Amino acid sequence: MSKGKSNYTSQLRYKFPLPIHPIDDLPLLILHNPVSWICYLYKYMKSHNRLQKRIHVEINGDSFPHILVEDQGQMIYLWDNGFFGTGQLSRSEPTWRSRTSIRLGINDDTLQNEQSAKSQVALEKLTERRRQQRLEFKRERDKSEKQLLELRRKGGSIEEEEALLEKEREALREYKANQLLKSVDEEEPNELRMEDENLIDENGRIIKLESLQLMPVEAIFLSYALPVIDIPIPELMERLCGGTVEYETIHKLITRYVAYHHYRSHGWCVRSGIKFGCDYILYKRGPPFQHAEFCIMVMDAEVPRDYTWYSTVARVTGGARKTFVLCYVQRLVSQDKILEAWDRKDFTTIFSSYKVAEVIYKRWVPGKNRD
Amino acid sequence: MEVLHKRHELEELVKNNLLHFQLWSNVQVQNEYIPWKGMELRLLTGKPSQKLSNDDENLGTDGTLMTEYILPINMSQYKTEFITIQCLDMIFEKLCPEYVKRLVLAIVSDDGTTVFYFAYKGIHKPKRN
Repeated sequence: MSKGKSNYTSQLRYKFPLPIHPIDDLPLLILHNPVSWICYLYKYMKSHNRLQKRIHVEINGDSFPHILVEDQGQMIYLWDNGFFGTGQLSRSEPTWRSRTSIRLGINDDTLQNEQSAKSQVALEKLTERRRQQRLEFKRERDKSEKQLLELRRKGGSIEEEEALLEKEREALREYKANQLLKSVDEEEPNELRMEDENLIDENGRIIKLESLQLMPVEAIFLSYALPVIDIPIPELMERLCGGTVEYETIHKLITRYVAYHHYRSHGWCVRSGIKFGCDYILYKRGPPFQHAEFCIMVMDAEVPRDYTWYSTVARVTGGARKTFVLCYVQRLVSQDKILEAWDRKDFTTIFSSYKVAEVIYKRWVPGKNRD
Repeated sequence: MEVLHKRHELEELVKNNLLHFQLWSNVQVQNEYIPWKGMELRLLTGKPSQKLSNDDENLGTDGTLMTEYILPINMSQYKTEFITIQCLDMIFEKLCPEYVKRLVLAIVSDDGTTVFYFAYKGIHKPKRN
């Protein structure tokens, strides 16, 4: 993957870390020129950095709400400005329409960000190709192991066995080297399927099938911490947790949000950790720039876990070369105080009634980890 | 009589994901269902675009890939939906033909991703890596 090689276009495209931008078009302030002060002040008072129009979200599903942004422009805006949300039919950035138009060979002039779409397509193609190659390699390896088994069954000598092993190893090595030489471009175009016919509307354009989905905590952040989406925070919380609540029903959401807000406000790009079996993963800047460095598991300070639980999660995150962080969220006031504030819709009081502390958990092997 | 909660939206999401992201074909939501904790549990059926695992000798009589049986499940950051062994047993018994040895669990998370896992009927030899 071409992560890390951040080029000029992506620097420009992902210029802002959040959907709200600083005011950066103020006139020059010249200290010895009072007129420039007036200009500056006037411009300063007049400008604002609110969004012209709040981003519209739909909330579907009753017991398990799905928070969706459906407008194509707004989907891209949220992705470009802080990497919020996930395309429901994509790995993360909502690229389904561009991918599909390329797969079906349809030119669609309504598609924005054509260039970046293409590079993204290449990325997803590359992953697919790599998976395919790994499968083929395993199939090849299987074959050679069957030969070995056959030899043993016939009662071959150890020398014969070793000769066969050596030969097979060499063959596999060669196979792998040949695989690496093949480039993505050599691939034959995909065949069209019957199902693809339903994807094209009467104007010959790809239909809009994909929405951008926001995690509940992302939606809370974009409503409570930043004025970005068009649903007020009391309404959103009621939609997520229901009208009358008990502490148990809101505890998990509050602690997850407190952790999310904590990392966002320290400048991290926080995304879901579902693929690594944890709550969040942290990117220094965002997915196009580098791999996530940290896996975060949000913990209740009071609840003990058995040792196998820790080692299970740590082995998965360690396997993905990420640092495993236990993020303890501790409630500082009584449950009743939280519920009272909930009834008053005083979410600032609620969120600031929790303390966050982190511990890094690392598997240590005496023979290997010498430094 | 209890009114069972339908899961159309979830089923539709998984169907679209399989058809238009994973590029499966012939994806259908089954009509039959079993009641489970106030919900109507339905399976989806479909054919993958390629073999799902190298260990599979899962070829049909005509040499094409076998139909897979998919169970959609909700997952959330702050709520849980339980699928128990008892529930899986019932599904194997009532919603699948006798020869079906495994289900594909389609776990729809509330962050917009869908992840897939196998659930086998009984004991299964571990997958080779």
